[in-house]
Amino acid sequence: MDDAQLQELKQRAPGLAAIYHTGRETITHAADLAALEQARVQVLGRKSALTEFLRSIPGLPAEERPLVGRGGNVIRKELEELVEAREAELKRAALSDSLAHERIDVTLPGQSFPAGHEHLISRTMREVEDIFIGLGYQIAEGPEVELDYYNFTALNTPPSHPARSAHDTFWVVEQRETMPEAVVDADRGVLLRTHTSPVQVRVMEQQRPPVYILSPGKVYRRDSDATHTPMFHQAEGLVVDEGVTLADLKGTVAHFTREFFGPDRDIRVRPHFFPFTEPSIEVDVSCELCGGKGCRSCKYSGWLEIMGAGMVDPAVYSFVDYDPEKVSGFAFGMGVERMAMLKHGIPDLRLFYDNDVRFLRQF
Amino acid sequence: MRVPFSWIKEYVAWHGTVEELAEVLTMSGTEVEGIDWVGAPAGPENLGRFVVGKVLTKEQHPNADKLSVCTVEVGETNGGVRQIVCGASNFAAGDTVAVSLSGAVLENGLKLKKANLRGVESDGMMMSEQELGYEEKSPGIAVLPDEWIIGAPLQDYLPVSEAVLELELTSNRPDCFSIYGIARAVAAAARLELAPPPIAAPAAFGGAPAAETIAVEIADPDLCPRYVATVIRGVTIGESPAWLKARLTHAGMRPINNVVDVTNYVMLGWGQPLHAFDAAKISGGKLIARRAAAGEKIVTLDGVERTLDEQMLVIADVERALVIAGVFGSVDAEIDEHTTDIVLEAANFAGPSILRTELHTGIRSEASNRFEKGLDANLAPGGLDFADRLFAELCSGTVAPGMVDAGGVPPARVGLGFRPGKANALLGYEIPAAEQAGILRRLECEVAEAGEPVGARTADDTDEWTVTPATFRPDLVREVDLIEEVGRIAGYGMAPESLPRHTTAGGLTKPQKVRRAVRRALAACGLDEAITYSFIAPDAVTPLGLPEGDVRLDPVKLSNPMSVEQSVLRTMLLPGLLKAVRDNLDRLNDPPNLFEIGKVYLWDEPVPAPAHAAEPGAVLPREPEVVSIVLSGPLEAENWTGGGRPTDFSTLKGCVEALLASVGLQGEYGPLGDQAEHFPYLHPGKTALVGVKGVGGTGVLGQLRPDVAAAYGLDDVAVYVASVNGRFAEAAMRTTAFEDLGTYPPASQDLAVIVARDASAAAVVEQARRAGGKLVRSVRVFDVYEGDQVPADKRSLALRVVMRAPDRTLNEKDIAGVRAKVLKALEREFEAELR
Repeated sequence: MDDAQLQELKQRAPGLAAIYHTGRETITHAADLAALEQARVQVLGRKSALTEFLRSIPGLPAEERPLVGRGGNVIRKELEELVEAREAELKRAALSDSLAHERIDVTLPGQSFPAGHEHLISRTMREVEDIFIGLGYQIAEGPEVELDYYNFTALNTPPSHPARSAHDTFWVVEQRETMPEAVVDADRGVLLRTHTSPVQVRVMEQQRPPVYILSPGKVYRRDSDATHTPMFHQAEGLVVDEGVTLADLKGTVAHFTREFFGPDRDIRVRPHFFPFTEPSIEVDVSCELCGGKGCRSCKYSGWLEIMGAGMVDPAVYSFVDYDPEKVSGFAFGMGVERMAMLKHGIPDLRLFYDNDVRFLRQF
Repeated sequence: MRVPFSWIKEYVAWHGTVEELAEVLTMSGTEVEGIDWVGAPAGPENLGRFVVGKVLTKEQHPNADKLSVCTVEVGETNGGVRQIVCGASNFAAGDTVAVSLSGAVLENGLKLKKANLRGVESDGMMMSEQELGYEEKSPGIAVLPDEWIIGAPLQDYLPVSEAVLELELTSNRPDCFSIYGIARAVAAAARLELAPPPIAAPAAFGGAPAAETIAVEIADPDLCPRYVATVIRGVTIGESPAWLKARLTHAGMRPINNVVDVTNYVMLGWGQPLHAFDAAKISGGKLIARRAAAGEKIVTLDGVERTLDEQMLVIADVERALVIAGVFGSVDAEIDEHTTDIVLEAANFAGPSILRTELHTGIRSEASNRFEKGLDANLAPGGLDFADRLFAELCSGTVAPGMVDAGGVPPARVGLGFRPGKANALLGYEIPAAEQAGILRRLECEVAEAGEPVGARTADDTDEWTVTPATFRPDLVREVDLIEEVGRIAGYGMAPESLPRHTTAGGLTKPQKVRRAVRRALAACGLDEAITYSFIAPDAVTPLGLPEGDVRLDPVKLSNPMSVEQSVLRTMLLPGLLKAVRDNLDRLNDPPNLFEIGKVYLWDEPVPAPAHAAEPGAVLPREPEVVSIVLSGPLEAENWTGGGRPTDFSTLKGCVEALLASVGLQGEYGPLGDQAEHFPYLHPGKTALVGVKGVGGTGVLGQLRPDVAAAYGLDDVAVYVASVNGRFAEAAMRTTAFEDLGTYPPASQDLAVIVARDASAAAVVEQARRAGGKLVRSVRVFDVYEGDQVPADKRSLALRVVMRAPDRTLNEKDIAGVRAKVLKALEREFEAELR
């Protein structure tokens, strides 16, 4: 009811206006739901002044009836709505009041949905694989119990090379019809691969260039201390294509390093020697701890060695019948554990094989 | 190799710091592993406090029997005369000594201060040999040569402070195994002047020609291309001078006596190992380089009798072998304190033969380490001249005129074809031809360029040069070796970073994708991935009680394991995982739940080796990949919201189901049946085989027998294990076709049926599904009850049957019909009763 209507009602039916006023007051002042119910009965009930007034309408003069009757109904409806509104208001207040008394300890742990963990070696290998998959490499695998031919000979390792000795390489007692009597000379057949490079030779035997592969996997060397375990993991890459250059190798390695360690890390390439690459290089990444200034972790050089690499030696091509005048390529290899150690600051290689759940669950 | 900084600076004009030198070496291919600072801290101020002094007077200390009070002249600039109290007795007034003045910081880090020793003031210290940085031969202080100038800095004569570069050398560069060789590498890399070789002959010769004392015969020139010898007569065996002892000590060798020290010094400095024979002990005046006889014996200097074979070279006289050539001397011809005349050997031996001898005898020496890499035969005469001069100077020897040279100068090297354009093509960036020629010449290669002199012209591929490497570079035999030299010396820092232009499509194979999915799925189940060693102990599978003849009892054996514990390759992942569980429990960790994805190595179906890659008949083992699971405790630890549900068979089965589901497969599970004999280590009633439709059996899952668990140190732990072979991967990752969701609402019916206790739930469900007809969308067991409410040999299975029609809402009649059909079929097949 707007002000004009109310004014008119006050003049024409002052009694009704008074009922309206009193009703409003009563309803709005009800302090709780019980009081509101009382107020409702009092204002709108059968014995209320409003009901009695409405009942009295037929006795009014005919010209007053329409106005008063309409006004009465409007007032009734309005007061009913007011009761509803007040009820909602009181209910919300009551709920808020009761919520205010409900308290939990939000510092207690959440319900656990215990997830297990991929081993850090698996996770690191996956990261490495994915970077090279992004560069168009396929992931190639091969046997761990391997022939000397694939592990050494076809990788241009001379027969007398110390790596072939029983001191460095695990040799396997062979199973064949004519077993050699005594095991004296090293270059005799079956061993545990000392790197994943034999996979590269096997792939090149099966496939003509272009070759873009990464071979991750377990390798074995006879060494055991804080920085060597007799089994560890490597990921080695091979690219053979037309016109592949050392600059391509450097760019590939740099891309990998920044993807794996972070965009702010530098690399540096040093000459080195490997029988199966020429030129051969080693790759260092700038030390994260000191940012290249030199600290204990990088032996004060500012650099940490991360991989060996080089252009595939033409002698290797001769074993797989590729023509070094037509194709060229590069190979690189890294220790997966070493990558993980450098990235996560793990001090002891043996932690990877202790399988202590306190370690496994950290990553 | 250890390279004292002061020594290399004698051979190359290096004016930078030792750190800068390390950088040059590292970046040109000779890796410096570290710099070892020996002696007193460097720095001009500190080094100025170590001076040459002369003892003026030496008096008995008034209050101490064993001390003397000396006055020592240390030169005007150092304050003239100092009073020093000394505890040594091996010197007299007039001796020249090494003095550290008060304020000097010594090699042990202590700062020398003026002191009062029993009432007498002492200002400075006279130094012992040990304090000077080399091994102490005689007790007391070092007595120095009289010609050293009093008051001069000691550093002018002796390295009081030395930085030693620790190099990691590569086996392809035998030329780097000497100080001069390293100096040469530095000179080439840093464009510096190299000193002439330190191999000047002695100033004078005397006596009868060497050939009158010794003859040399090379019986096996394939193992000994060259053997040169000289004779030095009248040597006095004694101690080496201080500078020599210091040099050797810093370079990592122990001083022995002047003769041995000289041979070692020449080997370190020039790279040619030498061997000194006592001329009097060479029977018949003749040395013969010959193969050993099979079974020939020699007592080496360490007193061990060694048996030789025909592939080993010895240096013998007419009667017996005197030396395992290049490797180790014998007791028979060594010099001793009575030696006066020396026959000095500088030989060249075939590298592979030396390496083989080292491997077979287990002996490795500084000399053999050099020979094994294949030395330059032209090193030998210079080595003798260098040594002879020192023998004359330091051992009072008279060098006989004439060298005995068997084998002679090796043939000149042939030139290699070299294309500068090819170098640029392989490196991927442009190094001008003139620069390439300059680099090769700095490396002492002879370069004959094609056509016009190089000048400013850039040569192209058609210009082939002829490049003849120096004889000390046996590693340069092909064009690509020269390309590496060009790239290496020019510096890889200048190489741009590019990527190969062509490429293939990358990606994972299906088995690799399956492996990743499985790993993710099992981790999602709450299992932690373990990686255990591929090798195990031969008896690691013994507690499993596998039947005789089982392939898992025939492992791949290593012929040279590091320990018995790691002497065979695993045929199962289980033993390694059980050990991992045990290790975790020993560390009081939560009982772990682990999985491993890895290979096992089996001889059951050997893989023939390709003919070109192995001897006939050679085979490799099969290496199937296996997934193994070991559960030893709750997946969710007890916590305030719950958790702690004990692990049981259903936990394990859930993991296997999740594994298969991750690649879109559903397993079929059944009891062991007649396969039980293959799994004697599993609980007979709590073990299932799992198979996959279309591929067949793919694994086994069950509880480890408690007695077996106990044998692995897991007493009172309920251990559930599963092993899934890779066969399921064949069926994995098939594309799933979309199934319409349906617009009409489903209806469900719950049926609790009492069936025989040994009736399999899977069979009951399958029967219900089939009997219900096409309206049935799913049937699952939502409760299992065994107990008082049902007979002892029965159990109640509560089934929820969900139905839906594609085209209408189901009515009461439809639902009742399905219910009736299901019940009837279960009654018929399982004598089921509605509960």
